[in-house]
Amino acid sequence: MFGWVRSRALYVEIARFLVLIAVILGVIWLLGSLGHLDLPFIITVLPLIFQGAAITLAATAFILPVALGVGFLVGWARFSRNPLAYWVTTLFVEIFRGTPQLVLVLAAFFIGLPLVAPAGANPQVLAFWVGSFALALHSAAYQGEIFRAGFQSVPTGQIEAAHAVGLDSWQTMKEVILPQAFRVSLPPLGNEFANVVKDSSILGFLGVLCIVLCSRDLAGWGRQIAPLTFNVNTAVFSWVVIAIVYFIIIYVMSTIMLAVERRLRVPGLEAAL
Amino acid sequence: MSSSHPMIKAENIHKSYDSLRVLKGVSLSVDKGDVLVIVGPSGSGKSTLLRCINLLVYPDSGSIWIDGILTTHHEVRPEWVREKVAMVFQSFNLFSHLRAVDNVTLGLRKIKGINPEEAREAGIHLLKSVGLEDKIDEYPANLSGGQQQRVAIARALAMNPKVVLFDEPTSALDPEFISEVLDVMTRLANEGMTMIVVTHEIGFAKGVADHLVFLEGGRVLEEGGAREVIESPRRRRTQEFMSKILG
Repeated sequence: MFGWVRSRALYVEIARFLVLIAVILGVIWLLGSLGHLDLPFIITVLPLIFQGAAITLAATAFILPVALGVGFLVGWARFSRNPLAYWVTTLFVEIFRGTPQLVLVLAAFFIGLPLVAPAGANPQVLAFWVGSFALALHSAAYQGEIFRAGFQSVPTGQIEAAHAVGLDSWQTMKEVILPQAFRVSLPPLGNEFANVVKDSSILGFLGVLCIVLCSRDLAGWGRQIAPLTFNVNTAVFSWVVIAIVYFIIIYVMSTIMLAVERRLRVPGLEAAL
Repeated sequence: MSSSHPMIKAENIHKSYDSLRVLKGVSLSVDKGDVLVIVGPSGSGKSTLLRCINLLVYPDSGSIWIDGILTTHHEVRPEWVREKVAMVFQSFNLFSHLRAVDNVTLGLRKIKGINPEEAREAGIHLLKSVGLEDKIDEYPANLSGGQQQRVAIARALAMNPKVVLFDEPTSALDPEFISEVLDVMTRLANEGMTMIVVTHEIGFAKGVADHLVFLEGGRVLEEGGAREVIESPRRRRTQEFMSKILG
């Protein structure tokens, strides 16, 4: 029976992959037929786009763990009965959830950067870090709410039973609340991770700002790509390729998340799926 | 340890939630190896009283001794008390992310630090003793109510407690599963476990309990030998209640 399930899942996987390839080929054919394909332009722009994809991955690799860690602590504090922790983190969530990412990133650039910049540091690199940090806090506010919902989904009877067995508060958190809350939180966390990948594009504003404002030669990447996209025909090609790159990153990520979910699946705890 | 003191002694327990006075000075005493049944209408404070005895709820005032040790003293860790005084809940409350055997052994592994293989052996042994040797690796969601409650009893016994509290252990069960749980409880009582059981299973109370307490409005209205209180209650209110639950 399980052999049948596994082979069926494999067929589904293959079919999805083929559909994906077909869609990408279809888009390229469409672009060509509309006159958006220009070989010399493609040769110039593709390496730049892949460079940009590398920056996206770097930003994601920084933002995700920071936001996950901070978000977990925020969710825990909002779940706890400690009034100080509750109010501090509630304020944090309201501020960072209620402010547009662009505003946060610009604030980090104009206010945060001068505060933290050591003399002689590369402003472009610093802009990347403070901007990423602002995005991490924004995502942490959302992930904090996801974790809080996860914690609150654990029935009080589970906590009472853990205490009745003799577990202390910390053991109850680690052995009973967390394993259940985490399973419930996984699907919305996957959503939020996809948002983090896409929202990292906001960091591009800092590249543009650096062209104008930073004294050193900082925005080589942004400066090279900016004039190239002014031609409407070729610009369409760039945006489509960028969309495909984002799509692939997020597709790979959600496939991993789904695998984690499947691996941790327990009967009776799959209600949130 | 001599038998000069009762296994459980509660004296003048008071507990309020905001302005709601749930327990208004309850005292009781259970000797080692005895079974006390608590009956009473809903809202009479039965569950709160049980939760005070294992300190899931702290009484506002009053004293509780377990095997001669004053557990309501502020220096006694509640976790220590709960290891000695296990509890079985109305709605089972099995840890839904853990298999039956891991539910039973969680305390052994995390509190007593017993290694997983040994704990599993002990867990399998306990599950066999409640007739669930074929459900060792099932998750709670795949078990019937009666099976879940038997796993919960095995879990309660894992830490080798001195006392087991039962909070309406059969009230959430379909009728067909009630007897399998009562059978396990009866055997446990016959083996000499000290038990306090909140239940309206009068057959069980008559056959197994030594004493019975009738609780109403946060006070003990009547107490005595189980058979005696059930068959010939002295107070009018107890008579009314007994005739209702006897049908």
